[in-house]
Amino acid sequence: MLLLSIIVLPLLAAILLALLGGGRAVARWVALLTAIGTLLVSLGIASQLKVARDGHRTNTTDRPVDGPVQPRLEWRRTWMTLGNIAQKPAQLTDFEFDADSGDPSDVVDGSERIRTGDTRKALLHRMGFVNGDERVQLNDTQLAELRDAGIVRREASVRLEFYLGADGISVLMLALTAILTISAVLISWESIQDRAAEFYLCLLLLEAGMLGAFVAFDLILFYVFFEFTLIPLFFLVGIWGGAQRQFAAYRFFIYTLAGSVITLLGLVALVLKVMETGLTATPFSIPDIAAALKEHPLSDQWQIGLLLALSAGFVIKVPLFPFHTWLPLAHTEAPTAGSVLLAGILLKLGCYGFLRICLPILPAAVAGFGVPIYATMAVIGIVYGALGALAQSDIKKLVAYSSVSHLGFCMLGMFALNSEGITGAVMQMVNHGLSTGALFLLVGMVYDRYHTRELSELGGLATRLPLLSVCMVFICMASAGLPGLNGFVGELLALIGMFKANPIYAAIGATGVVLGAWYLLDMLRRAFFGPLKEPASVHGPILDINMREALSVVPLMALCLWIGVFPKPLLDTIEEDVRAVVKMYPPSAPAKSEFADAKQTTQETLISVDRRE
Amino acid sequence: MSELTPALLWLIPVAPLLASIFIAFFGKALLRGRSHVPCVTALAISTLCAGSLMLMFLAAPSQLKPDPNTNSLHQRPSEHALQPVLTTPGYAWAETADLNVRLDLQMDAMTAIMLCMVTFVSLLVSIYASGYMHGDPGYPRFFAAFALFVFSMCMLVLADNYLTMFIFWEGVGLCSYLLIGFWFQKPSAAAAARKAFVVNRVGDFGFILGVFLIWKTFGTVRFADVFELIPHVAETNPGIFTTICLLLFLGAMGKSAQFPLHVWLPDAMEGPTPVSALIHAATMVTAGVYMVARSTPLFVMSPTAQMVVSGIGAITALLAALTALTQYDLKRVLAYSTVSQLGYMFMALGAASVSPKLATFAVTAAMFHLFTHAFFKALLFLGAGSVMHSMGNVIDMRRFSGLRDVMPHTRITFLIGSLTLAGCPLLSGFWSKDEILVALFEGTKAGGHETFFMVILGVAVLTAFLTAFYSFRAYNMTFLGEERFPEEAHHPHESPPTMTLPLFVLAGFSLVIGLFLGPTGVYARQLAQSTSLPGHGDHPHNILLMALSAAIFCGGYGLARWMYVKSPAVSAGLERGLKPLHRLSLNKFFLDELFNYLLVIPVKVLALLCTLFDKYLLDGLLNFAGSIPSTIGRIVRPIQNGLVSHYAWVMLLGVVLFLIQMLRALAG
Repeated sequence: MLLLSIIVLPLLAAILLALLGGGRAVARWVALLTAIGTLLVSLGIASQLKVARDGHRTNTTDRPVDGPVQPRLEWRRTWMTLGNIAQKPAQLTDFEFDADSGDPSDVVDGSERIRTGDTRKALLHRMGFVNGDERVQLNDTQLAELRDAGIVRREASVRLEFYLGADGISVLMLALTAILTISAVLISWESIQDRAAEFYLCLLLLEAGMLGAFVAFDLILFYVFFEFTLIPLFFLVGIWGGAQRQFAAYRFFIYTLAGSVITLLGLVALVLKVMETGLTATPFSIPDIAAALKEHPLSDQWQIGLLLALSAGFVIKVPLFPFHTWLPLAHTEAPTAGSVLLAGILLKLGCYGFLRICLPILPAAVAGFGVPIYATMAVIGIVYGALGALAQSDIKKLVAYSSVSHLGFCMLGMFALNSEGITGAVMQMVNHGLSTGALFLLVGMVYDRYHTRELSELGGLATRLPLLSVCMVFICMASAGLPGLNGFVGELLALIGMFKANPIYAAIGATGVVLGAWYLLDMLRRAFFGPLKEPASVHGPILDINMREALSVVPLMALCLWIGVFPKPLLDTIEEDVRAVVKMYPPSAPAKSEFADAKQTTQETLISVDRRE
Repeated sequence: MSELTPALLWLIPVAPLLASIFIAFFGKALLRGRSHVPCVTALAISTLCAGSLMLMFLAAPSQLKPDPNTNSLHQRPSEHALQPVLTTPGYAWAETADLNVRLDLQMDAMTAIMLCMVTFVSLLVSIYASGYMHGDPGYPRFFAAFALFVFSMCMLVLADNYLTMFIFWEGVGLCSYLLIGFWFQKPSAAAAARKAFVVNRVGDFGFILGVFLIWKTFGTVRFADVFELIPHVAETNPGIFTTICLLLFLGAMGKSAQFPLHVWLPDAMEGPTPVSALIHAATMVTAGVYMVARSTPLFVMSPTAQMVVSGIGAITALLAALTALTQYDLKRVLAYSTVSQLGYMFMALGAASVSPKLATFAVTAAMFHLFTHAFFKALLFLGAGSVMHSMGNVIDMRRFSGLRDVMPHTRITFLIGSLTLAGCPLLSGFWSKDEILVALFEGTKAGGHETFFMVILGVAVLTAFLTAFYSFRAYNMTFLGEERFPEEAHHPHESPPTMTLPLFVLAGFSLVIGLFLGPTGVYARQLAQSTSLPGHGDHPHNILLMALSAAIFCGGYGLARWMYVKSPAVSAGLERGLKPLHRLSLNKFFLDELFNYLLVIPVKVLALLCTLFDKYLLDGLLNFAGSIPSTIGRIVRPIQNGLVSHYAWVMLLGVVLFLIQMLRALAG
């Protein structure tokens, strides 16, 4: 129930705002209270999860408990059932001959060579199941036999569900979303003057969308939320953004949408493929698909095709090199709150998609085909993003490029395909959310004061804004991966995981750590140290960080320190669920051979069925 | 006692940490001018704890035999059965499938020595700093960072595994960054701080990869476990040791300022002088030496890596000494001297490759020099700080001279420091330098790399001569000659007692510590208890080498006296006569420029290329893709031009085509 309420709460508040409107004062308080409420709900989910971990799994299906995706909390409601095989006697019309999943080459059946589909028809004929076009009653044993042989599939009997869940990975992302939304509301408190009610409406809608994507364990639901986030962000950038806001909004909207459409195609293909096999009655449920395909993997070609299609949206969202060019523009034009949520949460949806969908469902393709491609892209992204950041003179753009670099670490860890790497990747997702979120907040504070983010116009701000500078140095250190702060934990695990899998990638990736220190400290040196330099146009007193601003950024700093010093609780939470995914990728025998074995078994069964005649 | 030891051990790092947190939160509002109080108190506590633990080790190692009831003392099962290690459990930092990192403390003889040195020197420096930094607006900030540094440094030497060591390795780097950039309004200080951090990061890049490789090879990062598994790995994969050691050494090169990563250290003198004394001379920069010494069992497995260590050490020692010859900035002379002396230590560490029997002696020599160097170099830096304090922050030796009467205390202590650094017989520097020379000399006799060590020994002797010369050049230029002050010095005066007292204490230690610990073998015996060292470190002194180093000292001293006191015209003449060489040395062999052109500018150009690539190629492709729909639209747009007559014509055409088709069908 909490799972549902975490989405409904911000949605309701958004609807309230839309209906009642209200002034700036009302709107921002509504938004703040809602954000705090969602944080509490997410903490509630976390505590339930802790209870659930101690043996009380709320498993509502007969799915084996060792599937690669295992929500520890579930909330699922069927809202439509298409076809229902259980109540009707089994008739041949309920089955179709499977022409796809078998061997595409011709099958030798006695002396005659017949096309695959025909073979099976003839086979059934000879087995006495079919006489001409007659309908024949099959008993359950026969049915199971045929299904095991891969000859028949169940006709579409599909439950459409509203399937929410949470595990250790998603619960962290939920909490992160809630925390960053609070910060986003606080930082917009004064700076958003126009159409405040609409602004907070969009912010809450965005939060609902992001939370929804993290609790969705249903493919369609996930996709809907994944895409839905674009709409409020489009308005946030397009209405409350900087000078080039409309161009930026259109570009990022269309670019990410184009990718997502391909992802949608992949999802549809995946669902149809799963329906064909008839292995599960809930072909939209990610855990069920993953568990089913673990036993009966798809063919190599299908997996690769699906991986390419599914990842199209994800690589753009992450963004992996070379699909990152929308990001700096969107960041520079977005209002501070938009940047915080965009960098902090939205980008993670890409990584999360990889982790939730691609890794558990398409192991053969990921291990054989995906690793060289995505890991290379990730490594290039790390170095390229860092170099890009080094060349920027706009602080916000610098931070945007640093995101490209940091998310490269996420993907690098993820495609290490071992426990350390993936745990590190999830950790890095959280860390990047905290530290880059905080960086954007601080840059926003500087911008609110000086209306510029150009490094050439600023200098020595530490003299004028000592507390803000302390925060800035702290967060830069966290972002540069200083041990004792959060960034180090994620980068260390991601790199060490990759080092185990492939030292070359890790070594190149580690240069990103050197460059990371370079560009961040260079930014600090130019903007915050040296003699004071302020833009001439500034009038009035420039005050140091105030209470409201401190409230938005200090909790993030505290979390950075806590994670850096005591990472174990978080790592344990993550790793338990990562381990299930990692099981798909045994280090000695790659998933591909598993797949080959499975295929062979199917054929053997077929032959044995054949002989029974 | 054994129940108390874990508490004592934890207190050593935790006391400065608490002080640091306290000062950071309350310094500005509450403490202000008294911000040094928590720091000095905490450091005194740490020093006492470290000292008492050291005494326990000294008293009798046999008393520290494992107690079956408690786990606080445990014995290593291998051949070092008699060597006690004190471990104290902390907490599990991270656990994943194959990576387990616990934050435990471990103390053996090597750690104990380092801890005593670190806490004691930092206590003295903090007392000094309370006088030196008096009145600075950032007074609380200074002591917060200072205490944090001592915490990190203690944790660094107390670490029981490579990863924890790395964590605090970077931690001391952070403090160094904060303190170099302490006067952040000065652009040069801000730039130096960034340079120090980034150059160190280059070294850390190697260190962390080395740790990864250790983890991948051994499956653990704990020192004890790694060292125990060495024989197994040596059977299956002997080549891996060279890679591991070279990667670790890259880390040491960064932190201990070895060529070519030494460029950050002279610039680091932009920080307040107490910081230069403590962090950039006595303690942090020796972390690299400590790490290599700690990893002796690994390095012993790879003679190649050790030769690299020796070679790099020799290059650094010579180059830095040559640079120090011509610098006019007193602190920079000392900084280059630090770099040079660190090179000396690495030369000795490399000599461990000669034979397993000599390994412990070579490492002991390096660690002994590290120990004595900490005292006399801190002394010299604090002395330089005292001069700077009096001269209105001017440190250029061309602008003052003859300070012997104005600053008698500073002068006498500085003289002791110079004598020790130059290797005056019987002072501490002499003993430790002599041990290094003996170790290198052994290398020329056996081990299969005789020629190599012949060269190294030659470099060491030459460097010793140069050291003696430049130490007295600095002393002579500062304290002798006619009395001159820069105009910034409003009233030249001797420094307050808070500053001179630490000078005298350090001077006392510099005078006697070598004699007490070196020839008596106390230090060597103590260090040999360390878990990282195989065998014993005792070695007879070589009278011939001692005589040689005494002669070298006299030569260097005499030359400096002749050139800078007796006939100053000679030095000026020499400067003109050897102009190209002089310029080379004065400009630090143009290494900064070299780095700039070979590394910094190419990276910046690459960065620029990346943005251009983004802007023109990637965005260009994107805009091209984006323009496809509108282009198609433009092509088909004329069809729908809104003219009814146009549509009528098209309709007619369609009807005609349809009719034709129908007729053909009917006909067919």
